[in-house]
Amino acid sequence: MAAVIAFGLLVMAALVIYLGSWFVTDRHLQQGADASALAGVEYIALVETQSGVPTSNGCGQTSDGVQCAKTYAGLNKVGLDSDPVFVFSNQGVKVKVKETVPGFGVGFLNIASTRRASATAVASPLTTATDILPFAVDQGQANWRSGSLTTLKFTKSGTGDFDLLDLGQPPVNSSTCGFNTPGIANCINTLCGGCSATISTSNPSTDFPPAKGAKFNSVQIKDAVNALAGKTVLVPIYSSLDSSGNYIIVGFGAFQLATPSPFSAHGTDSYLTGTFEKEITSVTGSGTIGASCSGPTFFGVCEVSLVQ
Amino acid sequence: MTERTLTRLRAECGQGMVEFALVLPVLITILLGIISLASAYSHQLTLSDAVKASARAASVCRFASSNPNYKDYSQTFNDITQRGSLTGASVTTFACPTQGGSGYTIAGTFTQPITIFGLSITTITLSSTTQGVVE
Repeated sequence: MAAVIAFGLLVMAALVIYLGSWFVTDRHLQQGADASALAGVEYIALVETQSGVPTSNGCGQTSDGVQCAKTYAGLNKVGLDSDPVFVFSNQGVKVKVKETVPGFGVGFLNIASTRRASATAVASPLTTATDILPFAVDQGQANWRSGSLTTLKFTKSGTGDFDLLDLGQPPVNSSTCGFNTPGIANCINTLCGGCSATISTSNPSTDFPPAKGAKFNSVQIKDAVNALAGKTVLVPIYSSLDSSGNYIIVGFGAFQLATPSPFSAHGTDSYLTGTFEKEITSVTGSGTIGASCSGPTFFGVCEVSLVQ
Repeated sequence: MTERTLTRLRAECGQGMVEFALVLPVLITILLGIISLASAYSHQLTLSDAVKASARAASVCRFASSNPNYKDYSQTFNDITQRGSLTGASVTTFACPTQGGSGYTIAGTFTQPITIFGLSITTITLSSTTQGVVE
């Protein structure tokens, strides 16, 4: 009886090791496949947003998405089942990996098992941009790409570096961002509390009217702006005005408001101080961005996500 | 059945019980070893999950200041390992690069004690590593 139980326990021990190896290998493979696919797609996003691929990337400057995925499969110590391939019109990378778990060399435990995993990641255009300040910044403003502290001038005539936008108009689905001073201040106030104002990037040439009744140098707007000191917000970038006097929004800029008081006023002019951190402008028609991630909705930014 | 046969059978039954009693500690030791090993495998899976989730957090670290819901990669690792009772698990420190596209390595380790009858027989070091790219 003891021999029978001992045999049973030894078989059980072997199974624990055997099946445990399967589970651990599966997890390792999936981890490696996910990281490799994401690295490949990140490469696509970096190249196509023209922010450049740093040398510390590990993929090299002359690589491409699938080569980068292949490199990262090696770095994550997973064997490729087949070479990574482009999917989703070259916007995604699919990685298949495998590893053989050896058997024990005894009976049914001698069966070597080949474990497999796959992952697909994709770079896709932004669908919406939320938490937008109602300040339309002139694309021609000299310093807005400098990355250093910038002071934007606001003039009552509307010919300064930026103007106040009425985000209460369609297509924005919001009742909080009106055209007058309290509406604009309310819009700024609610930004960090989850303002529902959203500009869809489905139409990169969205036109928005100026908020003609609002006063930037009002106490309400001044307090609302200063309350956001130090935070990074999105400001719409406009290229020009259409025939109706509406601002043609071509993208967004990530703008970090200066501390402690981004708002200032001198004489009849008012100023907004901060640093542009990132340009998110439409590339439609520019012809300078790689064709594969472009298109009418591409704003120079790709979302990177695992889809399988 | 004769009286002699019955006597022999009773004697053999006693012998079997004595043998079983002698082997029982060995069997229990094997059983506890199996449990300890299974625990190590389970902890390895938890560690892999923690490193994987931590790596995803690390890949978006550059946006931490603008995302109030961002959870630091080490905090992500600690949350998962603590839920999995991996007390003392550690993760490599990682300085978030300023430039997107830079490579990073997240490595987690955990010292797994192999215990039988409450005694620590040995320890094995479980580890998991992921390399990726910062967005």
